[in-house]
Formats: sequence, C-alpha cells, structure tokens
Amino acid sequence: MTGCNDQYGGNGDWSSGYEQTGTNAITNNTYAPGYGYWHAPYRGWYPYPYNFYRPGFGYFHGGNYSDEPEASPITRSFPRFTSGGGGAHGGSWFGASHSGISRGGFGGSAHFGGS
Amino acid sequence: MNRIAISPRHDWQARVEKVGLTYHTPDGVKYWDESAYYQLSSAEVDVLEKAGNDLHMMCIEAAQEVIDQNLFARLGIPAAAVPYILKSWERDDFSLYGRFDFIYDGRNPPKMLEYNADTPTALVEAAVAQWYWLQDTNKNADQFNSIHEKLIAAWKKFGVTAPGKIHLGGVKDHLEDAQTVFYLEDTCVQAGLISKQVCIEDLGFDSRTQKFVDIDDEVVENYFKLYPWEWMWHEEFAVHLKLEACRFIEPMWKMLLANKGLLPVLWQKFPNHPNLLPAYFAKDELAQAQPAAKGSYVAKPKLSREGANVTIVQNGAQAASTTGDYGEEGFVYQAIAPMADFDGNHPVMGVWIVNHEACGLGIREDTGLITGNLSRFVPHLF
Repeated sequence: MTGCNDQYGGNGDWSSGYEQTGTNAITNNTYAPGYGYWHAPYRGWYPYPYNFYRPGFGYFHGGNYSDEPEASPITRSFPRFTSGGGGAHGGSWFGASHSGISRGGFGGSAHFGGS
Repeated sequence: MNRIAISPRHDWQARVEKVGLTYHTPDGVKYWDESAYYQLSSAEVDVLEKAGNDLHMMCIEAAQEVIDQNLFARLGIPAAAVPYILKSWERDDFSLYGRFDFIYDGRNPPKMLEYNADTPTALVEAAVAQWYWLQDTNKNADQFNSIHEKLIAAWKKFGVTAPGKIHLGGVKDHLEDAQTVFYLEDTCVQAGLISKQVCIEDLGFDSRTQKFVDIDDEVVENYFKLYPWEWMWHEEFAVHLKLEACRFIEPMWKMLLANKGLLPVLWQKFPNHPNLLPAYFAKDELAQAQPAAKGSYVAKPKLSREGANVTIVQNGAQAASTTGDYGEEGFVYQAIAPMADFDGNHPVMGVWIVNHEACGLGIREDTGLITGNLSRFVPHLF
C-alpha cells in the first residue's frame, strides 16, 4: 500500500503486520498479506486501511466511503467464525473458519450494476 | 431509419414482466418505452452488423497493440493483473458477449462510442422483451436479433472445452443484474449445461484446496460474473486470482476491450476509419490533431459504467456532464459524434456481440446528450 501512509487517519498500527492481541482479538488496521486490513468496528478484512483517504471518494471504512473519517471507539474485535454462508466480510478471516473457507472477498466495490 | 410513435400494448407491463423485464419502471421512471419503435431498413441493419463485426476484430488488434507496446499503465490496469491478462489472452479464454454503443442515424456511418465488453446489461430487453413485443405487434416484420440462439450456441461451445457446472452471479440486491443472471442461466440450461447461482459477495475461497467455492462449499470451476474485473483486482480476493483456479466469464483479457483507453489506441492504429471517432489520451493532443473540433470534445473515464462521469465540452464550454465515482484512472478525450435526432430523441445503437459475432440490436434513447442508466429502451424492427 505504497503511498497510503500520509493519508491514513486511523487508530491502529496498520503497517506493523499481522498481530493478535488478547485471545484472538485483532487490532484495528492489522494487515495480513492476502487478506488486507482488519477494520475492527466492522469485524472484517478490507483492501484498504481503516479511514484510508482516496481522492474523489473520501474516507474508507467497512467497505464504504464517507466525507469525514470515522471515529469509532472499537480498536480491537474478534473475527466471526463461520463455516460458510457468512456473506459480505463477516465470514472472512484467514484460517479461522472451521472449514478454512472465507467469503466476502469480492463485491465490496459495487456501486451499481453492469454497463 | 424512422422513429414511429404507436400505442403501447394495453397490458405492456404484464407482458414484459412475464419475460423477465421486471425493471421496466425503476423509481417510477419509464425505462422500457414501447410508445414508439425504430424502423430500420435491412441495408441499415447490414451496416450495423458489419460495423459490429469489424470493430470487434479491430478491438482485438488494438488489444494486441496494448500488449506489444506495454500500454497497461496507460490504461490504468493494475500491474498485478498484467501477467494473468496475458495468460488469458494467450489461452484465448472463452468470451461470451459484449455490446458496442454506436451513434447512427441511417445516413452516416455508425460511430463507435465505446465497447461494453466485460459486464454489458440491457440484455433481457434486447434479447427477449423486444422479440415478444415484435410477435405481438408486427409479426410479419423482422428484427436484428438472434442473441438468444447465439448465447445458447456459445454456451454449448464452452461446455465442450470446459466440463463442469457453470456458476453464475452478480451483486446482491440489484434487480436488473439479478434478472440478467437469471436469463443467462436459462440460456446455459438450454445449452444442456448444469448451472447454479452464487452471488459475488457469497463466493468463497477454501484455503485448504486453494479453490473458489459456492455457498454450499462446492468447488466453483466456471464462474460467470456480472461484476467488473477492475473492481475484482482491487478487492480482498484479488490475490486468489493469481492461482487461476477458476474459469471466469468474461475472461480476464476482456479488461483490454472494456477499457476506454482502447479508444485512442484504436484511433492511432486505424486513423480515419469511418466507424471511429478521433480519440486521444490528452485533450491537447485532440485539439492539436483535430483543430476543426474547436475546443469540443467528450471526456470519458477510462473505467466507468452507465455513462457516469462523462463531460461534453462544446466550443470550450461545458454542455453536459454526469456525476459518479469514476475517473481515478484518468480520462480519454473523444471527438463529439453528431447526435442522431428523432423528434428530440437521441438514440444510441447497442450492437450485441456473442461469441465474437454481431447478432442483435438494442436501442436506448435520451433527450439529453449522454446515454445513462435511465435512458429509455425502445424496440426496433425492419
């Protein structure tokens, strides 16, 4: 995520790599290769850091953009454990699912339909 | 070519809903409009068919140019995707369909506006709804429309080379996309293939087998995705695309054809072709090369959908524009096509390509200068 550092307005050490705190709670903006950034308030992995600023779009959090950075008190959270059918982002966590299956890794960019 | 005003069928809503066009009046705004139709001559249909076939082959040649000249960054294509686009290109991965948009008035040559080569919609209305409209209203007339038959034939061809179930899906909670997927699944089944739906959000990845799986954890070997490649390459599962564990339809090489950055490449490779409009990567280039344009052009994002983020500038002043979330990858600048005008309506001719062959027409019209997702679909005959 070269070039993101200056734009990041989050509240975790997202550049320090995968790190778990406590018993499987994941710190906001933890980065895991192949999975992305953990957005603790949304309990999911996303392609950009929490509150990543994208010109023309805004601040990214939980799969959406807003005009202002989000201020959430949740700095750590637990992944949802699912064995399939978890839907968008909720069931997505590397190696945590009982079945080894993660979901919700596509579909987060959807604005509307085809062309 | 004429636009003929007529009375709609008294039960038109029920008639089109019955064949899958349930999104005929989104948010109370008429989208399917059978209060008129376009009448073409068979010679005009031939012109559109030839333009579709010629342009499709030219786009493939232009895509080869992108590869040979390494223009991927110019088109805003992520570097991570390039090796896999190249492999998809070399394998000649199966392509189902696409839709050209042309400006055409029946007198001047059709001019290509763009090629919706990855996730084209307006399919149910073009392939099915207008065909049944023709049977109800003008049974003895013909229509440029063998889309349905060609889709079935294309699936049969795919089934021979790629055994296994076909999964299909788009985004959740989008009526038009859902109906498009339902329709394509129907053509798939009619081709004798086994199908199953899984929405793009529900597509799973099994870290043990390194395979994509559906909602029942069944391996997805072939996946028709009504979801753009450029979004997929920016999402969490993009890393799994590198495993090439699934045949995607449309294939990855279609990223080259669906990108509006191909328009300047086409113009450079086929200058002054009658079906092309001058197009450049920079508006200064356009002004320099086309002084007659006199500060008039259309700015289009390299990656965009439904006419979003398009700006029309005439004589240096903004004449029309649309909003949207696109443009991050940059814009291309295309000369303005003289708009066809039928009683104040500006039609855009959508020529469908199935399995590399032009096979149908869907016409959308607007009173504004930019065709967007609320432009009306009007049936045609010849």
